[in-house]
Amino acid sequence: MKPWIGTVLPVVTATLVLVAAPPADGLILLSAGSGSVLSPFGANKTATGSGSVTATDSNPSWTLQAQDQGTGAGKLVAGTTGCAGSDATLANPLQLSVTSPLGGVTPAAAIALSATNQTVATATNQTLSAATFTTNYTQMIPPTEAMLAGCVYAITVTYTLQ
Amino acid sequence: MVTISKRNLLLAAAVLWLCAEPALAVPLPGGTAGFGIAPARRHVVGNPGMALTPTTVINGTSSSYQVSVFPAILTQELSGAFDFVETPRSLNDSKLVMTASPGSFVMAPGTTRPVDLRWNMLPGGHKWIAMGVVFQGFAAGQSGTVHVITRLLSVNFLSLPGLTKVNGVFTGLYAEQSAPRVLRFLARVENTGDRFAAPSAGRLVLSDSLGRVVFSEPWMGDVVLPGAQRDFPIDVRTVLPAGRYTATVTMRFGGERSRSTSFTLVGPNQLPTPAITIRDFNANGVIGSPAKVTARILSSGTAPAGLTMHLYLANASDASPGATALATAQVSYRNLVPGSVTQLSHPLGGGLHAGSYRVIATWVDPTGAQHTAQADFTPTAGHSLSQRIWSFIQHHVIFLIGLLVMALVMALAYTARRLRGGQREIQAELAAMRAQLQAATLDDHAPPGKPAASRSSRLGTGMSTRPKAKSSATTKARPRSAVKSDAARSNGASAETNSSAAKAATPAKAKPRAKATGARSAGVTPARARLNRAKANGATTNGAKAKPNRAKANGARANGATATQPAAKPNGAKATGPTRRSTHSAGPGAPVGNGHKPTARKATAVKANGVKANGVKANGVKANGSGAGASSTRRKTTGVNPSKSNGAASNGSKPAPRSRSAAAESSPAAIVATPTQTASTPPNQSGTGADLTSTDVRANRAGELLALASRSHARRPLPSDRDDA
Repeated sequence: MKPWIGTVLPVVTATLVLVAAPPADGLILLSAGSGSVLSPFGANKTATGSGSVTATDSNPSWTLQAQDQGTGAGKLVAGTTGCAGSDATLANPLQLSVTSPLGGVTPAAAIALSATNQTVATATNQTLSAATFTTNYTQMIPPTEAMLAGCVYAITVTYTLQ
Repeated sequence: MVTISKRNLLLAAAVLWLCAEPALAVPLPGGTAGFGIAPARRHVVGNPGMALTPTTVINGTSSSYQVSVFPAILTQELSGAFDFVETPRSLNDSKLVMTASPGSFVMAPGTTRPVDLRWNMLPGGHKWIAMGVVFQGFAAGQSGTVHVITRLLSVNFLSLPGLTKVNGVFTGLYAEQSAPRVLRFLARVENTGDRFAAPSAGRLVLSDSLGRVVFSEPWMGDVVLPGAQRDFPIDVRTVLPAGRYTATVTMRFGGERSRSTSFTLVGPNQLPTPAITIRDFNANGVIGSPAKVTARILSSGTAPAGLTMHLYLANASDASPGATALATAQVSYRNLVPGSVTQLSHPLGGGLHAGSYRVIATWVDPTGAQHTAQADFTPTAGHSLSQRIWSFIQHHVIFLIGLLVMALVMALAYTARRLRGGQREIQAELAAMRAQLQAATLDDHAPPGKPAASRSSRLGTGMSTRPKAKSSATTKARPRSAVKSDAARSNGASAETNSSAAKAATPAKAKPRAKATGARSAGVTPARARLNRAKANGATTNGAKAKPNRAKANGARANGATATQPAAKPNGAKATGPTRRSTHSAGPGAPVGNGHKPTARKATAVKANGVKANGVKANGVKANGSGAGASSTRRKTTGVNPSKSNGAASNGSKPAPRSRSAAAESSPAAIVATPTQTASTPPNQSGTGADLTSTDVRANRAGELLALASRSHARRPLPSDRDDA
């Protein structure tokens, strides 16, 4: 066997593998506003609010998901102080929908927030460049909800871009 | 055999190291705003134990970010999105495969920071693994009700070097109605190879029933994990008329692949597509009760759809795949009409204990795609019995108050009824006794040729109670139930009240009362005494013309027994004159008072139902408080028409012809209060039996009884009396 073969073969093999593999790519950015306020917030009312999420993704196939990692699992949770006598969590989960002016974006129907990641918007051929998504929140509060004045309810929505 | 020296191997490794991290070549874009990472994806072919190019974390916002980083093992959903299990166990397994450091840090606004990644190992028997690195940022200074955490998922396709097989197939092609006049075709692709690969050269072609291509468009593929399936949606906005069509998808995935399906449009771009959408999936529960699963099932397609949903209940802390479910259930629906919404409300499991639970629902949509939804909940404390009662009271307070009021009213009515009943019994007893005494007296002392009633009437002076009970042979008790509203009513006594007396005194003007109670002579006159109104109830029984008696002595003047003012002018035979207003006289019993000097007894004391003993007309008797029902006899009279007076024949000899009273019937002769008899009582004598011409002791006893009865009535007025007043 010729000696040069032993030198060239590993290098060629490694090179072929790397060429066949897609390169590392992508930049994703995601930022949210300073929070949203739901109003009117009280028993027997439907509170609504909106916010925005700005996303950048160089990959035309992306997915935006939402979930609640907190103890409420999609439901607003009462604060730790000033909430004696109030329901620890609201009965209904927070409803969430996302809209986008981009044509290639497929927004999902309104979801009931939960501990599971749920897709709120997706695309297979639409890159994002500081695209703004409007987030719409709806909280239905039944009349039987025990909510004392001064008790603050809150929720943290986790948006995942991939 | 090819011999590879160590030097050559090192050279190859150097080439790999230099080329395997092309992410280094990716420049960070300028002017990035937001919280971000780069690179977002990596394809790494190598052996575990290598360090990957660090990921740069960018904080392009004006807020500081609290960042945490952790790796996760990825799976892929049909939608193409990557998912990972976030249980502690799974996250620990992920850290064995890959580590990221630092795990958490704070980023000031406008800064970047690298995060080192290291691929440590592969699970046994695997040639590849998809690892994700989660960069989670929480911006400081958030306010409001809804806060936001941003997560960026970096996807790393890690595989061992070596020859690999690229292969993929179509596993389905489905058409669905994406939106009005928008068709969506889902090309489901499975990666059957052992390499991270994506289909290429994808295309969708629609042809009509004649084979003509009416639509053709490419679609872009993306990475499909080995062994996974993924849907590639292709939207058709070109409007096609109703008809039958054939859809064909093609791709290159280890070779040329294609799949066709036929479909029918029932309208312009309108598919009869069954579809199911689950909304508002939720679960809750109360300690001690089963979990309650709720959801809205929307038949979102254009054709009837069916659904079979499997429900699982598990502890939230141990709800990883493969864990044993605490309870399961299955719910099935068939032929859900398009557009209909079905409310799911299903109990799951047995009594819950305190803790956190998770309900997982799985179902397969009409396209065959598997879906999963889950909801976590913490059962609330059940309400105790007292709490439930209190809650019931709170929610029905008005009803309960109404009920209480009704109960009070009923209790009052019952009490009043009992009181009245008791009084009547007493009265009846007294009347019976009185009647007996009178009867006895009559029997003993009736002079020949004179009606016995004349004496009995005298005896009856002080006996104004109602002969409710069977009084005597001549006094028939009237049943209580037969009481009418009239004066005579209650006791069946003759309501020969003042009116009758007055009538007797004024024959010309007196109006006979047909029903007049007075006519029921022999009974008890349930007259009601009227204090201070007693107008001379003269007992003109004999038809003698009555003269007005001005003695308006309070109380009953006429009856000696009831007169309250001694000064009252005794009504002798004439005395009982016309009263301007006939009061309820004690009627029968009292009657005897005619001509008697009123006693000083207080009128009210005589309220006892006047007994018209033996039907003696109670002429002129102002029966104080005599029995019930005397009210109706108030009438202004100027005299008495003996002939018309009810049963109170002026001469007393004639019984009341129309008397309905049993008493009257039984003792017609009792109506005979002769003038002689009435006048025989000295004015200054006590009215109560003062006119006794008999020495019969029983008569005296009768007077005593009457006094007792009178006192009794004075203490307990009958409600009916009050009414009459």
